[in-house]
Amino acid sequence: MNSLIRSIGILILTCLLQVLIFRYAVFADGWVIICFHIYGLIMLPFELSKTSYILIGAVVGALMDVVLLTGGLHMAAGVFTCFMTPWLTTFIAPREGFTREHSISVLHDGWGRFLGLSSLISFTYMFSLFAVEGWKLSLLPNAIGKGVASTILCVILFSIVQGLFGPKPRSNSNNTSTYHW
Amino acid sequence: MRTLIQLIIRNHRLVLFVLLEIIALSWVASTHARPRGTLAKIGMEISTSWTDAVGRLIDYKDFKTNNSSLLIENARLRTENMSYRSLSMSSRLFNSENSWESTPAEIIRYSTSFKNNILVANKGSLAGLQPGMGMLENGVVAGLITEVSVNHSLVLPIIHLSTNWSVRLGYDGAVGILNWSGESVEYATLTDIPLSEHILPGDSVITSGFQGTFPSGILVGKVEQLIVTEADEFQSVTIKLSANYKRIHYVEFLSKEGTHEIDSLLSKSSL
Repeated sequence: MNSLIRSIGILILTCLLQVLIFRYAVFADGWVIICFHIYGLIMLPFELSKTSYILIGAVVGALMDVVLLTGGLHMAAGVFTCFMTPWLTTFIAPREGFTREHSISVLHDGWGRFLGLSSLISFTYMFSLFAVEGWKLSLLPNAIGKGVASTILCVILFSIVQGLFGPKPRSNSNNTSTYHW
Repeated sequence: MRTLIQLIIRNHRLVLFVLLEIIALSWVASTHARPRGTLAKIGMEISTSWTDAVGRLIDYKDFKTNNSSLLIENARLRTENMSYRSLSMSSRLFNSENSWESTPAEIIRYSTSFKNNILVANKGSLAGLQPGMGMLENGVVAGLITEVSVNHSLVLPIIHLSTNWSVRLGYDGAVGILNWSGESVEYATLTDIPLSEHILPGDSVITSGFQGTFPSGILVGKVEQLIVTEADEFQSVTIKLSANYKRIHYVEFLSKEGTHEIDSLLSKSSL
């Protein structure tokens, strides 16, 4: 339960940061954009049901659309990404599977799994966002290019955030000796 | 019936996904084709009030006020200057009976990275703005109001996939349709120009005045490149847009007396 509340808190915080700051992060004529709220979706615990994932994706996307005036683009991308997330997770899951009450983190899962899941989820979101936005088959290669470019920047940002604010190993700095003199 | 319900329950995730995607895609279709209606208004109100709040935090108040008033005054003078220049060139425009009025405003929200970009201006119906009014940026064509609330307006720029603009090549050239291909915010494509039309790079492209949104003769852009296909009877022209969407900030909206009269005539003819 604690991990769920923590994850929802992270999701709200990332949405706020996206609306306040990262909405202005549009580079290279719109080829590279930052969607920081994807980090919140990545950090959702694995214990969530698939239905909850889809509903959270829809709500977050719809909120982004209302505030950023993108008219359904984020909702479409959010729903699609959250529908795909449980399936994407299976690609990077360890053999014994993930612990249910657990969000992905570098400390528990390592950089490889964190970067893998972040890249897969970010690309799914970005690609669907640009594909729906282009709405033409001829613009699909364009959407893939934009998706890849934006995913790279987002994953770099997510890695920095994870490195700075992610769970840290408990330092055993208590030097009191247990040896009974 | 029971089987159907059981099927839906069994595949409830897929049903939910399809349902939510349908909602999202209809939202996309309704807002990206031509944003109108209550949903567009509510979205615009929330978005602009949020942007206003953020803007207040980051702007230097006094500097902004002075700068704004100077630039708005500049925009008004430029429009006036343009109207006098048009009057001297051709008496059919900007005469006292058929005059265009400009309302200065500020763009507070814009997007240039999407295929269907929109702009939001900080003036609405309270300042006399109405859907259908044309927008100038630095004296050149930049967009068209599609929706207004009390204090804000939603503007479709040229860089929107679903807009078409009636333009003319030079002051006595052929009339064609200008639309945006979705690639670069600096270029648009002019189509339906007869092959017989002699065009050179650098030629001016101006408004035809047929849409009733702008007076004729307002600069839209310059010819950049000709695209001729042998199979076609028409040629296409790549136009470098004069409006700078990357730096758009202060704009003017044009209105004309007697527009309602023309509109009512047109609606009668369509009956």
